[in-house]
Formats: sequence, structure tokens, C-alpha cells
Amino acid sequence: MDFSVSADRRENGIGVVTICGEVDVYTSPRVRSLMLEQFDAGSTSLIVDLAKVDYLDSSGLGILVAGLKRAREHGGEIYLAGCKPRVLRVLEVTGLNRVFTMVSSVDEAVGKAGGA
Amino acid sequence: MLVTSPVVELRAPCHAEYVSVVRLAVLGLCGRAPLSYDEVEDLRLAVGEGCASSVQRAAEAGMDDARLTLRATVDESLIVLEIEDDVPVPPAPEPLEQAVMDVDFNDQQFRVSLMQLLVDEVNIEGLPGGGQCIRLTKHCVASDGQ
Repeated sequence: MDFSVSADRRENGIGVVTICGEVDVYTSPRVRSLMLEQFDAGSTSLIVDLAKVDYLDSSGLGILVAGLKRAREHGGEIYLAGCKPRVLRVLEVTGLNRVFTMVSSVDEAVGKAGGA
Repeated sequence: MLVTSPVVELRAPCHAEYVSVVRLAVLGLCGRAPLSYDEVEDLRLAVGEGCASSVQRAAEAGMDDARLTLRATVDESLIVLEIEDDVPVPPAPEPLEQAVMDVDFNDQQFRVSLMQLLVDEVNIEGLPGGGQCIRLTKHCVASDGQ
């Protein structure tokens, strides 16, 4: 699967970053740039849609954790949506599944963020 | 049935864009061993972490011409994957003892910790003349009926 990453904003101002493909030492800088763009555009919370991500390494984890730190410093949150079993495995062995807010879909994250 | 266990080598520039190529090779090589899908994926991730470690060190050293070698020995009972580079090794970092939110995920020690969670053995040694070799070992335990 070719790598791609895109972003948009929902009505409540929450940013949604959608990633497809493999997040590793080569591709993670593009994820970082887009997440930073969303924060700079005013999003305090982000939904990261991982439903089409097949591979996530420590470089990707680092980007997500840095994003979470920034979000929480501003009263926000990072929602990880739709993780596949392999991505969930990496989050579980590192204990990060207990750090992030894990949701099954972007819609669920939007609902949670709206009610927060 | 595997009868012999030849050594397979893949050499590539020590650049981030080649790490996925090395991972793909691991998928093909380890697909020959009696491992589950998850075990093969764990090996692929561990190799990716080893390669990322080399790539990061090469970038930090400004070595655009650094080389990366994957050396694989796969048989029915054991898989040994070596990730070797020619990048000088910096002094060893302090042990990882920070809270999770303070961990530097690009830190070499974190990568090592992750590799240790994914395979049976991780050995790292400096090479004469500079460079580093990360040796990942996975013991194959055949499932019932295999």
C-alpha cells in the first residue's frame, strides 16, 4: 500500500489526520508535519485515523507521543482510531494503548471529543 | 521441508527510504520458517527498528555513504537476522528509566527495548574499524500438526 497522509477539520474544530500505509523512519516526518499543521491551525485535539495503517514503528510512536504531549499541554487529546491488530500489538507491547484514547472509528472519536 | 540453511545477504544504502525494502525481504525470508503470521510480523518490526537505529546514527554522523547489510540464516528451528552497518558507534546511553511520556522514541535505547520485546535474543556488538551489528535470534516452535 502506498503511503499517504491527509488532514481535515470537523465542525467542532477537531483535526482528523488520516494515514494510509506504513509509518516508519522514512514516512513519519510527513505525519509529524501534518499534525503540527493541525495544531498550528488551532486544533487542540486530534483524531489520528489508523484504520489503513499496516505498520507502525518507534519513529511513528514518537510522533504520536509528541503530539499527545502537545495536545494535553493545551487541554486537548489525541484519539487513535481504528487500529488494526498489528498496530495495536505495537501499542500494547510498549504500554501506549493505556496512554492514548483508543477508539474504534473516527465517528466515535468525534462523539467523544464533542462530549468532552 | 528446509534441508539447508544458507546465509542470505541484502546490502542497501543506510537511508530511511531503504528500510521498507529490508523489511520486505524479511517477510519473504521468514515466510519459509515455521512461524505464525504474528511472529513473522514481530521479526519484521524488530528488523525495522534495527535498521532505523542504523539510519538514525548515519544521519547524526552525516554519513550519506553509509551502508546497511541484512544477513539472514533461516532454518526449521532457528532464525538469525543480523543488521550490520559501518557507522561509528557513539558512547552507550544511560538505561531507560523514564516515565513513558518522557521517553524519546527516537532514542536508541528505546529501539533496543522494543526489539527485546519482539524476539528471543538481541545482541549488539561493535565491529572492528567502526560500525555495529545487531543480531536478532528467534527460536521456532512448530505448532501442532506442523
